[in-house]
Parts: sequence; C-alpha cells; structure tokens
Amino acid sequence: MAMIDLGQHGSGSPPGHDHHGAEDLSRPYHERYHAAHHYNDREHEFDAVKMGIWLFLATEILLFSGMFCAYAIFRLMHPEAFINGSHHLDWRWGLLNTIILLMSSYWVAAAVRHAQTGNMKWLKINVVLTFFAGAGFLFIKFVFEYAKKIREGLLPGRFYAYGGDATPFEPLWWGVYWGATGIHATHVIVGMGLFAWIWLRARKGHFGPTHYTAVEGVGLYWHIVDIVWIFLFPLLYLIH
Amino acid sequence: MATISSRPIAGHPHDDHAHPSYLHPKGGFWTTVWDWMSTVDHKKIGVMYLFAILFMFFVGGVAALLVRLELFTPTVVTGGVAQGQELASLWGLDARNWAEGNNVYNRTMTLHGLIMVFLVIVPSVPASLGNFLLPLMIGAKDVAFPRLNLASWYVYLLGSMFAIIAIIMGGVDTGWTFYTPYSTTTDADSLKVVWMVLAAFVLGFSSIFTGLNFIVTVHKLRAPGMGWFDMPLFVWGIYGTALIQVLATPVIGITLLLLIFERLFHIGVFDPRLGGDPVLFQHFFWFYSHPVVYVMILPGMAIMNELISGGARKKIFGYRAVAFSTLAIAGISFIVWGHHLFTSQGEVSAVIFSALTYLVAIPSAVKIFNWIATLYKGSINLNTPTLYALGFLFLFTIGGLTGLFLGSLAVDLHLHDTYFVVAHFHYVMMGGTIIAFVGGIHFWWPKMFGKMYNENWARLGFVLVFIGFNLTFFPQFIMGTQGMPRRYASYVPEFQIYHQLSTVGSWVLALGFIAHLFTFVHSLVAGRKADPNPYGLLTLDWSQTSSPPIEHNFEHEPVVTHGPYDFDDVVPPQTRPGEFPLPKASPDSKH
Amino acid sequence: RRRFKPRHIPRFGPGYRQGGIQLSTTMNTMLSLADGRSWLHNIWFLTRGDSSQAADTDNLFMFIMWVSIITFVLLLIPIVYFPIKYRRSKQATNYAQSPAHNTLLELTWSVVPLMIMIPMFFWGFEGYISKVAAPTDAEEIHIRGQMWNWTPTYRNGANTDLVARITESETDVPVIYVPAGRPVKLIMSSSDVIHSFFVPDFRTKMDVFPNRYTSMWFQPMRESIPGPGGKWVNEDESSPDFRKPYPGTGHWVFCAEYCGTKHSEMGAWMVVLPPKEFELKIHELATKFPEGSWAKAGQTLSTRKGCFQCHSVDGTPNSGPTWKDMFGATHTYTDGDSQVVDEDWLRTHILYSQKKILSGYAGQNMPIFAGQIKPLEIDAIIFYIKSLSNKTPQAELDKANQTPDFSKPAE
Ligand code: HEA
Ligand code: HEA
Ligand code: CUA
Ligand SMILES: [Cu+2]
Repeated sequence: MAMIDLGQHGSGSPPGHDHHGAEDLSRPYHERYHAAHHYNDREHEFDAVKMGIWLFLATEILLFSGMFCAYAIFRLMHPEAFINGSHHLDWRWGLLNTIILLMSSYWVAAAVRHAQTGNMKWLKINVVLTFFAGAGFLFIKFVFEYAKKIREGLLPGRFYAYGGDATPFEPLWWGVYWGATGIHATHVIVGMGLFAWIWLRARKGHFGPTHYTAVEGVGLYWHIVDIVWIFLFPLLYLIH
Repeated sequence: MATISSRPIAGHPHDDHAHPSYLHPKGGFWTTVWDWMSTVDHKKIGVMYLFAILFMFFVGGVAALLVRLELFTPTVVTGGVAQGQELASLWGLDARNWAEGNNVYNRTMTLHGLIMVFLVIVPSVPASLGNFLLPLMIGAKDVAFPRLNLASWYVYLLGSMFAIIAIIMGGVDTGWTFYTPYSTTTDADSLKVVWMVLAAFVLGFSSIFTGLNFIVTVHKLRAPGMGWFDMPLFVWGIYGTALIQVLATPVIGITLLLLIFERLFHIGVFDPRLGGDPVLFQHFFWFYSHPVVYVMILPGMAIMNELISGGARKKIFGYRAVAFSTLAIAGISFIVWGHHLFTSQGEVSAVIFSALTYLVAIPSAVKIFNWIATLYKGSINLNTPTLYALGFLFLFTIGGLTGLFLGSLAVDLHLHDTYFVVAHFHYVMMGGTIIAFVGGIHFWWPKMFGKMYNENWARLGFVLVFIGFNLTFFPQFIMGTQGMPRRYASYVPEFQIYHQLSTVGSWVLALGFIAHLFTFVHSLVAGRKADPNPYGLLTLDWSQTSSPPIEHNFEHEPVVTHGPYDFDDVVPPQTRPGEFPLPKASPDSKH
Repeated sequence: RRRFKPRHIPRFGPGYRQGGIQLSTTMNTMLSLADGRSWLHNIWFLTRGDSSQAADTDNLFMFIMWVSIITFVLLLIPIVYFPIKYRRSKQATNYAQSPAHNTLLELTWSVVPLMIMIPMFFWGFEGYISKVAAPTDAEEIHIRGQMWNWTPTYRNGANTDLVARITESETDVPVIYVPAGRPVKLIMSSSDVIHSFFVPDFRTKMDVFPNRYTSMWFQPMRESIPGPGGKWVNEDESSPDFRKPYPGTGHWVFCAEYCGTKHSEMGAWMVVLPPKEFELKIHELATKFPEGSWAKAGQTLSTRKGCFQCHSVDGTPNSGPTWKDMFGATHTYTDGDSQVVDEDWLRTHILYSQKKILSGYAGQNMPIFAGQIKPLEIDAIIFYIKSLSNKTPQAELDKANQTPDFSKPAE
C-alpha cells in the first residue's frame, strides 16, 4: 500500500482547523486538503468515496427497477388502459426533454473533465449549463405537461376527474405515470441542488486535478437520472 | 511462530504519552453530552445504538408479555362478564366489548412485531456490535464514512420517532407485513398507518447507510497485510449482511412509498377494485423481507464464529467453507421469497420457490456442522458467551429444521399462518439472532466498557432464558400443527393448555432478561477492571487494543502477519489454562 | 358408519413415498410402539387427517419430523459431549491441533442433507398438485368471505340456515354442509380484504381475494356423528354453551389471513353429511318456507329466487322496475295503454312476465315463474312488495306484518 503523505495527519476538515495549526493559505484548497484521519492519503480516501458513490447509485437503480417492474406488470394486466392513457401524452415535449437531458449529460461529463484538468472556468460554466438544463426540463414538465394534466383532471387515483371517455382502470395508468415521473422529477430537483453546491465549492477553488471526487460523484448521479428518463420516455410516451 | 509487528502512526497527535479511552469524558457534563451527540467515532455510535436497541427490545418484549397475557385464556363469557380480554381491562376498556378487546390485542401484537423487526433485530448486531468491532477487527481507525455513520444513527432515531408518533396516535393494527388491501383501508380516517409505514421507510435508509458504510470499510480499510481470508469471520458475516441490506432495502423503499400513495391518493396499484393487485404487494414485500430474515441471522452467525472459536480457543474448522456459505446465503436469499405465498394462489412458481428454499438451507447446515467440528479437541471455556453459543446451536437447529416443514408445499398449505410459523420464526430470530446477540454482548462487554460482569448472575440469566424460551415457543409448534391460526385475539378452548404453557414460559423468559439487566447494571457500577485480552485471543480487537480502546483504536497501525484463529501456531499444545502467551503489540518494531 | 374409498391422491408411484412412511413406521416400532402412525402423530395432530389428501400430508409431515428428530439428536450428542469432554480445565490433556478443514468430510455434510431434502421437496410438490387440482366431477360450493363471516352458496342457490359460535363473542358463524366421500370444490371470493379458508382437519387452506376467484378442494372421508337429539349445534337457549357446536360433530373452519378486528371470530363449523342427506339438506335449504312475517318471508324468497338482480327496493333504477311504491302506482305498457298495479296484476306478471311489457323495459325478459313457484310463495312476495309501497292501505300492511298461520289456508 502506498504510504505517501504520511507526514501530515489530516482531519478532513478545511484548513485552519488542522492539528498542525498555521498553514500557508496561499496554496489552493485542493492541494492543502488532508485525507480524513482514518485514511492513509487522499487517493485512498477518494477511492473509498468513489466506491461508496457507486454503491449508492446501485441502490438508486434498484429503487427505479422496482418501479419499472410495477409498470411492466400493470401494462400486462391492463394494456388498453395504458395505451389509451399514453395517448394523452404529447411525445414532442417528451422528446424535447430527452434532448435537453442528453445535452446536460454531455455538459456534466465535460465538467468532470475540466475539473480533472484543473480548468476552473469551464468547470463552472458546464456546471451552470447543466443546472439550467435541469431547470429547463422541470419547466417543460410542469408548465407544459403537469399543468395541462391537472387542468384536464388526468390525475392519479382519487383525484382523477377526467371528463372525456376513458377505458376502465385508466386512473391506475395515471397513478403509474405520476408516480414514475414524480419520483424522477424529485431526483432532478435534488440534482440541481447538488450542482449549485458544486458551483459554490468551485468558486471557493475547492477542486483541482487531485481533488474532484465530488464533481465526479454528482456527475455519475446525474447520468443515472438521465438513463432513467431515457427508459421512461419510450415506455410512457411512445409504446402504443 | 508468527508475530504481529506494527509501526507508529505518523503524525499522530501527542504520541508521547498513552491516550485516554474513548469513554473518557471530554470535559464537563454538557461538553461530554455534546461530544457524544456529535461524535463520528464508530465506537460511541455503536454504543449508543446498543442502548437504543436494548431499550427497544424491552419495549417490544413488554408488548410480547402483554400478548401472552391476553392469550392466557380463550375468550370466555361467564355471567355476561368477559374473561380473556385481559388487555382490554388492563387498558381500562369495557371488557365486555369484544371489538375493543380484539383491537387492543391486534394493535399490541402488531406493535410487538414491528418494533422487534424494524427497530430491534434488523439494526441489532450490525449497528451496535458491528459498528464497534468491524474497524477494530480489520485494524482501521474508523469506518469509511464516519459522518454517514452518525447520519444513519440519527435517521434511526427519526424512524423510531415516527413509529412512536403512530403508537401515540393509537397504534396500527396491520400486522408487521402491511398486507393490502387491509393496510390501505384500516383506520381510513387517520394517518397512523402512514406514520408507521413512513417509519419503516426511514429506517430502511438507516440500514442502507450502515450497509454501504461497512462494504466500503471492508474493501478499503483493511490493515496492511490483511487479505480477505485473514479477516475474522465476524467481518465476513457483517459483510454479507451489508450486501443484502444495500441490495434489498431499496425495493421495500419503493414498495412502502407506493403503499403510502395508495393510502393517501388511492392510486390503486394494490387495490383490485381499481385494477391493482394485492398479491403484487406480497411479492414486493417478501422480495425484501425474505432476504431480510438473513440480514437478521447472518450477523447472529457472524457472532457465533467468534464465540465458538474464542470459547474453544480453536481455529474455526473450514474457514473458507464458512466464509463462502455466508455469500451463498446472501445470494440465494434473493430468490426464495415466494415461499411466503404458497397459499396465495395455486401457482406453478410455488414449486420453484420450494426447491430453492431447500437449497438455501444447505449453507446454514454447513455452518452448523463446522462450528460443532470446531469444538472438537478444543479448550472449551464454559463461560456465559460459550453457553449462549451452545444455546444457539440447539435453538437455531430446531428453528431451521422446522423451516423445512414450511418449505414443503403440501405441508405448508396446512401450516401457513398458524402458530407453527410463529414458533419457527421465534426459534430462528429469538433463538438464533437474539441469543447470539446477548452472547456477543457478554463476550465483548469487557472490551466495550472495560469492566467484567458477574459470571454467575449471567449464567443464571442464560439458564432462565433458555428454559423460558423453549417453554414459551415449543408448545406453539404443537398447537400450530393442530390448527391454531396466528394473529388470533381469542381462540377455541381446545388450544388453551398450550397457550397457558407458552404464557408461563414468557414469564420465565422475562425473569431471565431481568437477571441480565441486573448483571449489566451491576457490572457498570461495580464491575472489576478488565484487562485488554481476557480470553487470550488473536483477532486485532482483542490482541491490539486496550479495554476499552483508545479514541483512535490503535496506538500503532497493526500489520497482520497471521490469520485470526491461528492458535495452533502461536499456542504450543499442552499449555495450562491461562498460560497462553499473548502476542503483545511491540511499539519498537520496524516502521 | 361407512368409510369411503379415497380418490385423487397421487398414486404411490415413486418408492420414496413408501420409504418415507416406512421410516416413520420403523421408528415407531423400534421405540416399541405398536401402531405405525399413532403415538407421535397424536401428539402433533390430535385428530387423524379427515380428507383423502390429509392422510398423505400427515405421512409427509411425520417423515420430515422423523428426519428432523434423528438429525437433531445426532447433532445434540457432540453439542453436549464436546463441551464436557474438552472443557478448559482439561486443556492440558485434551488440547490438540486439528486439521483446519477436511474436504471429504465437508462435502459429505453438504451433499447428504441435500439428498435428504430431495424427497421432502418432491413429496410436498406432488401433494400440492393433488391439493390444488380439483377433479372435474367435484361438488361445487361457492364461498364468500367478508369481514368477518363466511357465506356458503350451494349449487341450487341455497345458503345455510344454522349458525354456531366460534367463541363467545357476539359473532355467529355459519354451519357449512358438505357431502361425505365425494370431492368438494370450494370456489371462493371476498367482498373486502384478503381472507383465508382454513380447515385444519383437512390439512389445507387457500387465500380468498377480492375481485378474484380462488379454489380449493378436499374429499371428506368420514360422516360427522350428530350430537344429542341429532343436532350439530347446541340450540338450547338456557344452556351455557348455547350455539356452541357439539364437540366432534364436525370440523372447525378458521380464517387464516389477518383481516382486522374480528379475524379471530371469523370461522365456520363444517358438517360432513352422507351424500343422500346432503342432497335433502340443500334442497330443504332452498325450498323451505322461510320464518317470520309474510313480508319477511317474501323478502327471503325474493332473495332465493334472485328477484333483486333486476328489481331494487329503494327506487334505484335497474333492468326491472323498482318495487318501491310500485303497488298502487299506474304503469304504462310498451303498446300505450296503462294499468294500476294491484294484487292480481302482480300475480300474473310474476307468473307470466312476458305477456305485456312495461314501457322502458323492452328486451329485458324476466323469467317465466309459472310452475317454478308455489302459490304461498307468491303470496309472501306480494305481501313484501305491498309493504314497500306508500299507497298500500293500512289493513294490508298489518296483514303483511303478521306471521303466516298455516292451520287455515291463506286467503
Ligand atoms: C432469522 C430469520 C429466519 C431464518 C434464518 C429463517 C430460515 C428459514 N426459513 Fe423462515 N421465516 C422467518 C424468519 C427466518 N427463517 C420469518 C420471520 C417468517 C415469517 C414471516 C411472517 O409471515 O410473519 C418465516 C417464514 C418462513 C416460511 C413461510 C411460512 C409460511 O408463512 O407459510 C418458510 C417456508 O418455506 C420458511 C422457511 C425457512 C427455511 C427453509 C429456512 C432455512 O434457512 C433454515 C436453514 C437451517 C437449517 C435447515 C438447520 C440447520 C441445518 C442442519 C442442522 C443440517 C441438517 C439439515 C438437514 C438434514 C436437512 N420460513
Ligand atoms: C426479533 C424478533 C422477535 C422477538 C425477539 C420476539 C420475542 C417474543 N415474541 Fe414475538 N413476534 C415477532 C418477532 C419477535 N418476537 C414477529 C415479527 C411477530 C409477528 C407479528 C405479526 O404477526 O405481525 C411476532 C409475533 C408474536 C406472537 C404471535 C402473535 C399472534 O400471532 O397473535 C407471539 C405470541 O406468543 C409472540 C411472543 C413473543 C414472546 C413471548 C417473545 C419473548 O421472547 C420476548 C422476550 C423479551 C422480554 C420478556 C422482555 C425482556 C425484558 C424485560 C421484561 C425486562 C423487565 C422490564 C419490565 C417488566 C418493565 N410474538
Ligand atoms: Cu378473515 Cu381473517
Ligand atoms: Cu422467508
């Protein structure tokens, strides 16, 4: 096991609180950062953090796969309700949102690369872009889709108040639709929060070639959110 | 002759003089309280978990005693006055009102099940002993993500709070399995059930955090020189548990979420009238809850490894077999959930689930056999922990073997949802996990608190628990086979004799636990000081730390050069009792 | 009492089955206990399994039981012996290095249990199939579960008459009659939550779902022996166990899926009748003139004849005209002319409904009841319909509320 950095006993806390007291604050944060005391060094810590993030993403995937299971089963049980239900959705908005998320995926990837190469300016720009991509996604979802559905009373379960004729069990379809897109939208909102946080830290100059795990992790998270939508889009909008 | 060399941890604050134990107060009272509340020290978090879980166990246990009290008599009316509604009268309700009496019972029974499963046994071993010991055993200074660890503790408290809110609001009567459509329609006018489901949901996150933390810790923080097969088997057990926790819990997460939507918005996923499917809920629920029964037992088995090898001071027989059987159990546990649904419909899939159920029994069998083989030609110290280990072998085998009755399709059609099932899972959960847990607490008590406990009181406690347990639950096998259904507030007189035996048993059981309660308190206030390695064992938690350990666990980062159970290498045969030369950490050794 | 030839249990094909039974028998005889099945069996099941598959299930149960006992004892020996033999104080003499593992040994104790478990699985599987796949000629009884009661409906539409008490709660549970020696298939559904129909003596149960049908079947092997006075249930009000079934006159039925407050009171008493008596019984249930006042009897009869499938009594529209305020009202026919509804209007329309169709009900052809229904029954139904109308004269209402007195013929 590599034993570099043994000289300094890190506490994971930002500089100043360090056991070694006074320290040259001119050096950028990411160079001054010490691994938490129970790690040998930063690589060791970032390694662990990365693995943690991957495990967390695994749980996310499992959570959504439970949802997709439900979708599949109910689709088999009531195909007609699902087909008619999906006719209420406008695939164009769905497609637009898909494109937006795909672009954001590119931007976030770029952000990670710039973090690695220590290009703070472009890191920040890409993070901001991704943030607004998320915002755009939600804007379209809420203003052009949810709002319309609410007006038409195409709501889950006991709120279902659609005037026109519907196949039996269509409320169930709307339950699935709102459940799935709702949970996904929540993840988008959380993602935007994370990007705001990344942006703030980037401004403080927390990141650099040796210190970008946070950016990487948030990026991975965002990719998962995208992938889930990539599945939701055809399942909800396209399959007739 | 292997040794343990070690080197000082560079840059360690004030290396010169010995460090205070982690229990050493940080200052005045409030300072200390705050220090504990905000600590990221895995040991303190583990200890806090331990006491919370023991408390919850007592609450759940008292609920159990009430359940047993109610069942002491079948409901009989003589002269218009109901006897056999003990709980109702205890609660000052009109004992003649059957509905009331039954409701009180159903709520107490559900309360017992929910507390014992979600607040006691699932977090029990990993969150308390696991938290405390895992880093010590692999020679790490803490778990991978100390803050996440603290978070999981507070999430646990949050979940408990939700549960308590639900209880204060009058308690839920869904049974711990939340079967729909009953759970979505009962108490329709109140939010009780939502709070309770939310509690289970939140506690799921606590369990995910712990599991995730442990997996990374085991992967990344093993001491230099400690390969996968140099880890104590306790670590293997906790690792297997963590895998299941991380992979199964998200599914119950989404399921409970849907359940809440169902209740609040009637989205209909589980409601046949709206086109949903109640059986789907059962599949989702058991897809989590079967693996979770192994989340319950694997840590118990993990403790068993240390109790057996430590009690017999002997190398575990077939280390690799035991390690791999852990992984096998974790893996297979994901594909047997259907054995809880044999009576749901005459489905062909039931056949596959039955077959797989038998498959999952094998790794458990392997462990049992290996432990017994380990005792052979050992040097068995019949102290309380070892007694509990032997108790585990006795009780879990009964519990497991009765699982085989339930796994057999034709027989399960008869036994399903009878007291036979109740007895089965108490023999495995109480007789397996809890017994191992209590044994483990005694075993590591000196390490955790630096005090010895009174051996004789503890032994007495064990005897009472062992007798009481069998008296409580064995009759339940018989009445179950005779057709006594579970979750019954009243029953036909035929079953009275067995119920009365069972109730008396639960009192003996309670006495046993009171004895333990006394032992622990007595030890904390008046216990004799414990030396670092009272049993003379080789795992790092014993051989390399003081009792109680210092805040950063090790004076020197240990480098492992021999397996955790290599007694044969370091212990010449023919040594007298207590004459084991204990490998001592030598500060001067090479860097 | 006659015994019946068991049917539909899987043929004793594979030898392992006799093998299993042989094990139980030898174990019993080894322990010098005469009858192969009884003693241990009687500890576990008070009663012998009373259906054709029950016997098979019991054999399987006892097989697993004996395997478990043997395994457990074999394991118990070292669990008790080693700690004594190798206790710490004897360490100096006993302690010895022992092999870290022994592949052959470990393989054995992984494979042998697997081998033992194969018959458990296979036998259970066959038993399961025989329990879920009902023979085609089975007597079908519909069971409806609702919180917290079971309602049987026999092939001829009859429900049960007699009620019993499972505990001393106020809840009454029905007595369900089944024919002896014939396969009985229960077709079950629930009107609210999930229940489970459990007959311990027949060693089988099946969950009962809302909006779905599940089925189970069994072949009762022995006729129930009636209690004092040929009765199944104690019907004497003064007795302390009023309404309690006489022990041994039938089989308990429990609800085995938790369903709320009175889950534990949701049962039934299943009585096994000789096939002929069963036929008589359900015929009697279907045809016997009901208790109570004319109106009450009329209501019961209307239920039996299925009138309420088309006629409401509270004014809600249905495929037939509602009975509320029908009597005395004026009805117009499809062909234009109209008539006031009086007694013989009702009589003729019950007997020959198709003669003239009311406007608005064209194409809704109500069955012709001529020959299907007795004069007395028609009277009762008419009284009932009268009792539902606000235009009925008081005298008529009073008569409707009198209990029929059959000593003199009804007018
Ligand atoms: C700690 C938790 C735990 C554990 C470890 C187990 C272990 C097992 N369980 Fe159990 N089970 C529960 C907790 C647990 N169970 C709970 C809580 C329920 C009820 C839930 C509810 O409905 O509320 C339940 C219910 C349950 C059912 C459903 C019953 C029903 O509702 O109809 C079934 C059916 O197959 C089953 C089977 C098994 C089997 C085969 C094992 C096996 O893993 C056992 C393996 C062990 C052994 C076999 C013994 C050791 C082996 C030997 C000594 C070797 C010799 C063996 C042979 C010769 C074969 N269990
Ligand atoms: C870890 C899990 C666990 C544990 C340890 C226990 C422990 C016990 N359980 Fe149970 N139990 C379940 C999990 C558990 N249980 C579950 C999941 C169910 C199913 C619920 C459902 O159907 O939904 C269940 C159901 C259940 C039933 C069936 C209820 C029914 O179906 O109607 C019964 C009945 O006897 C019972 C009894 C007991 C008893 C007597 C104990 C005893 O072992 C308890 C021992 C503990 C004590 C005795 C407390 C000790 C401390 C003291 C007493 C200190 C003194 C303090 C004071 C007096 C203040 N439990
Ligand atoms: Cu119906 Cu329980
Ligand atoms: Cu299971």
